[in-house]
Amino acid sequence: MISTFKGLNRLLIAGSLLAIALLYYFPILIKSSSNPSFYLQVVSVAVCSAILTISLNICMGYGGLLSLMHTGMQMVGGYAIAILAVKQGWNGWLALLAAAVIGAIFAILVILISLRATYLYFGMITLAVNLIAMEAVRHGGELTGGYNGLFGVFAPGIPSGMMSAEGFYRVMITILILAYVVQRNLIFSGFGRNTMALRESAETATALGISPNMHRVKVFGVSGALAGLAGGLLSIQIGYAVADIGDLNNGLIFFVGLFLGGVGTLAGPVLGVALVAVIDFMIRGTGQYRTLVLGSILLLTMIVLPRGIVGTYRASRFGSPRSREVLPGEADNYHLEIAVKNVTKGEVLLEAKDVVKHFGGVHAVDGISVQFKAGEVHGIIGPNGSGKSTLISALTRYHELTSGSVTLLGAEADKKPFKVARDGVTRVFQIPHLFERVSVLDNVLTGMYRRDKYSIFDAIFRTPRYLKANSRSVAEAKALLSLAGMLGMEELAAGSISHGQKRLLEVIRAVATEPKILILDEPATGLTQDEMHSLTNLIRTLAAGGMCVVLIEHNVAFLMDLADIVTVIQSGKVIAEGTPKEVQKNERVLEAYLGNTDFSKELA
Amino acid sequence: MSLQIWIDGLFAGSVFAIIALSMTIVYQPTRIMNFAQGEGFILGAALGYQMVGVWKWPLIQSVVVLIIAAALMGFIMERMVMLPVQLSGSKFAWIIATLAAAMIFQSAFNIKYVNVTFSYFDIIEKDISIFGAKLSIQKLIVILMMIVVFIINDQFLKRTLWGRSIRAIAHNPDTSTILGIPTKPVIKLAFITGTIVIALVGFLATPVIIVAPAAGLFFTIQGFTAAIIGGVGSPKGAVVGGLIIGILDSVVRAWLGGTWGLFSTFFVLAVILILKPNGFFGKRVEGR
Amino acid sequence: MSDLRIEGLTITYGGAKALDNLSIEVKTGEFVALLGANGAGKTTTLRATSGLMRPAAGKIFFDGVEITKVPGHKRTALGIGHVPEGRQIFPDHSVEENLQLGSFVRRKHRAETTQSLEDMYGLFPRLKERHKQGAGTLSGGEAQMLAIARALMSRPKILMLDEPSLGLAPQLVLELFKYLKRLHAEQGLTILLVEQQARLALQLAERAYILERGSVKIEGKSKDLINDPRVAEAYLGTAS
Repeated sequence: MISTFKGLNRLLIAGSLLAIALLYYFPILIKSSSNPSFYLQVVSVAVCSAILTISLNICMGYGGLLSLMHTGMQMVGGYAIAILAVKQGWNGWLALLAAAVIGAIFAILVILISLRATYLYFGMITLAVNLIAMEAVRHGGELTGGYNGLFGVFAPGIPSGMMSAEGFYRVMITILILAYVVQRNLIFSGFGRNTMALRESAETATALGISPNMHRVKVFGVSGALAGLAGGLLSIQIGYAVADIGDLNNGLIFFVGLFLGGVGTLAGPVLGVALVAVIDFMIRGTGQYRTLVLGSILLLTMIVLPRGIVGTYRASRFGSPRSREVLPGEADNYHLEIAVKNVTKGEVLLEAKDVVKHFGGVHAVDGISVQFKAGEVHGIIGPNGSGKSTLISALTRYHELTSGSVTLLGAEADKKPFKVARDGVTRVFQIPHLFERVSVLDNVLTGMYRRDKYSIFDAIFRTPRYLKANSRSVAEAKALLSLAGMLGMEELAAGSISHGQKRLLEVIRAVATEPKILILDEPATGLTQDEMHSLTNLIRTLAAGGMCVVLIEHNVAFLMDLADIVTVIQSGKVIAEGTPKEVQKNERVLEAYLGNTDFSKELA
Repeated sequence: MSLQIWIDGLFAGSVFAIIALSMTIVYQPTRIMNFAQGEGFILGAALGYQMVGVWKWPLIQSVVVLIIAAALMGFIMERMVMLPVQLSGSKFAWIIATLAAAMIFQSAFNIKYVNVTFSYFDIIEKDISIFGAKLSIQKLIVILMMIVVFIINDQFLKRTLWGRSIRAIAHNPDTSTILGIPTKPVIKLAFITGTIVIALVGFLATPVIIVAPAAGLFFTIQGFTAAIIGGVGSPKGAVVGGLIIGILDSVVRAWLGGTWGLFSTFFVLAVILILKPNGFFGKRVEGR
Repeated sequence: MSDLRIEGLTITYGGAKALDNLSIEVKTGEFVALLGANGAGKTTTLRATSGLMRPAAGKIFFDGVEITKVPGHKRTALGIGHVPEGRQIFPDHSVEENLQLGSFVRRKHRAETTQSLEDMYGLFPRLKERHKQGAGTLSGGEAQMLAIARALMSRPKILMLDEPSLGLAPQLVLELFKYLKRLHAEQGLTILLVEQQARLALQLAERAYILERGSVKIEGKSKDLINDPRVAEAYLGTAS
């Protein structure tokens, strides 16, 4: 079984290499055919589409940003080339680079004005921008050539005879491969992990200290750069730039390709576009039936292969990674000293004073004061709806306070939740917020991104700085996994592990951010005895290292031998505080949980 | 500024408002903004051209056949959109599915009508004069239709049990289910009524507006713009949004020239989304 | 007949077993409480019975007929009423509209609906006073009454309530429980009550199941359970 799996993977790699070789030598292969330049054109346009679809995949597939302006970006890239290279006489390569930069700037401007818009509305803004851009180009006068567009766009060096059509074709293939590598390097780096984190849950990403807005700008910018580049190449290939390139109808092929290949997979866009190009070629000359066929393929794909080809393969038992065997003694290699820096045990890390949070008329939190100290396990319990989660959201700034104050490490806590996270308060939510489609290791690495001191460019070009930081992070992540008894599962998709392991993984990911205060919202729900044991050990280790672990629990049994102090909340107020034993015997607590009101007379 | 411009704006605004209303009808129980909605407009225009223009059918007969055809289209569209949405786990399934449906219908129209612009008849050619401004009876009918559709839709949603059920499903599908409200037939009904409404406005407005077989997406986008300015899911918002872009377009066109109309529309859209991200009457929209 | 029987129900949710081979039974005319700490599977049991969640294994019978595969909205017509967690009234609908939606499955019987409406107003006079008001303006207690009345409008054979006392002041809880008791005693309504406040629920119900980790931990007569230390344990753990 394992060997079939490996064999299949090797076959896939060999197939890919063969495909690349075929693409490179394609001009020679078709030389004897009746119409070589036509075939070359067909493949070249498909290559542009593939680059654009990679760009779409980065923002939609990985970033979860609904973009309906990729055709517009493509058009902008084309005009950039046409204007700079043809009209201004820039060097062609420089103009191509400028097309990418202009694409990025265009994208960044759009996302900057629409950061407040939620998902559907963001899509609509991009649609509107696309239409505005097309109108602008149509009425751009001499600069854009109006409705007719600009003609005579040539490849850099072609008119002067420095490069043949085949030569430029090879340049395009190279750029496609580079685009794929850029995508891959980005996705496997901290940048990509943050992008996926944001896609899966903006809330959790924020809890890990990621600034959602800043990161969205970056993702869309990268996507815009690739789209601009693809547009520039397309215009060179077809020889003109015209507003109609931006038409959403022309974008159908990207969507079909992306969904057919698999949204949010690396190879999906390329494979999908290649398939669509083949189908497109077979039905050439049928005019309007083309859209009909493509549209039908798209619908059928969604019904039959909802994850696309690559996505389905990855989900199948052949394509999904397995856990590896842990070598004897391997765990010893990963020793990790948990020691929270710059805190002394018993020091007050966070202090809340008279915190009040009202929602309309509901007094969810009604004047709670609490202290979290270094090195303690602090339990917060209370019946359903007593305000525990609201309190935590208020302390970590997910909710604005109605009144009261939160002091973090001696200063007033920042108003932005991701900054609170960066200052050392990491929370794990009640509902599992794992990045399910990402590997176990990558989940942990996402928690570490704050330590990664490399830029997007380091990641794209795999500079020594990136490689060094990455290998250090991976070693640390493995050490953390080892601490939770999860070594050997690094490559598994997080969605495929058991519920208890997911909860543990979430805790580990949170620990990876090196918090001073770790807040766990009902971590024990649904855990097996063994997993419960691992969790207990982990929490003890963390507290021993000086971390403050805040546990929100319904289950006092779990807290019993773990918590140093327990705060009991009812109806938004603290009704008891003390050791677990004291709390369990407290009559008010029993009443709060079981309801001591004796209505037996009234109900009789 | 002359009154004529405002009257023309009111007409265009009514068209957009009805399109936006038909989208709202689909959106309410499904939370889907249907990219294929504008194809219903083309259906109205195309069948109008075919039945009234080519076959010279009487008006009533044409309208009846149109309603049946639109109902059928709505039925097919529901399957084309909801089946992939239910089967695909993707957050973007609805947009891709509706976009694909739009493309399929659009190419069907393109195949049937090559190089045809739908223009066929004026129901009543007479103009009436209001303070010197002209308003053709046909434009008046469209404006009245907008008012009637709004009122009927509003009353249906507020006064009938099925209408209230739609609002209930829009608010909470699970709770609706435990009350015994069948959500799937309601969704089918929404697609069918939505398509009938937009097909009717396509039929009535086309002789005044120039419509090409491939223009469905344009009308979809106009409808979206109106709905988003007003607030997605709100019938009142659809009307207000539609009138805003219609009148704005008309006024700006007269003032700055043809092309600035479309600019102004999308510009207003962008400004509103930045200042009031949920539109005038809308509620926050989250991912499905 | 309105026997509800759940056999070996297992429901997985995100990899975790929300219900693990759970079996319970509610006989016609019984008042049964379903108790347990948070996350024990109480709400899931009700949602599965209403057809909102698909079980991985197990069967649900109602009136002796298997309904495991019957779609949710049809179960209401069979006579299963559900007052969901958090009330879930429709805030933009008026009080009366909420009630009318409750009788959706009986929409063909107009006279009956009018009669039910009168009955509900008789049972909850406060709702009558506010029948034109938007349901979003109701207080917590009124909203809870509306949610119950709405479920009763379908004239269910069994009424399932999910934590109706949540967020209500003790006096209101008493009032609410009196209504439930009256419904049970006077109209012979079968009731399945999910409650966090165990002692309270045990004062009301005849029999109870206490769930832990998705299966039944303890079951028995209320009067036996009310002083059973194991009940407190299920909520608060062992006090040593």
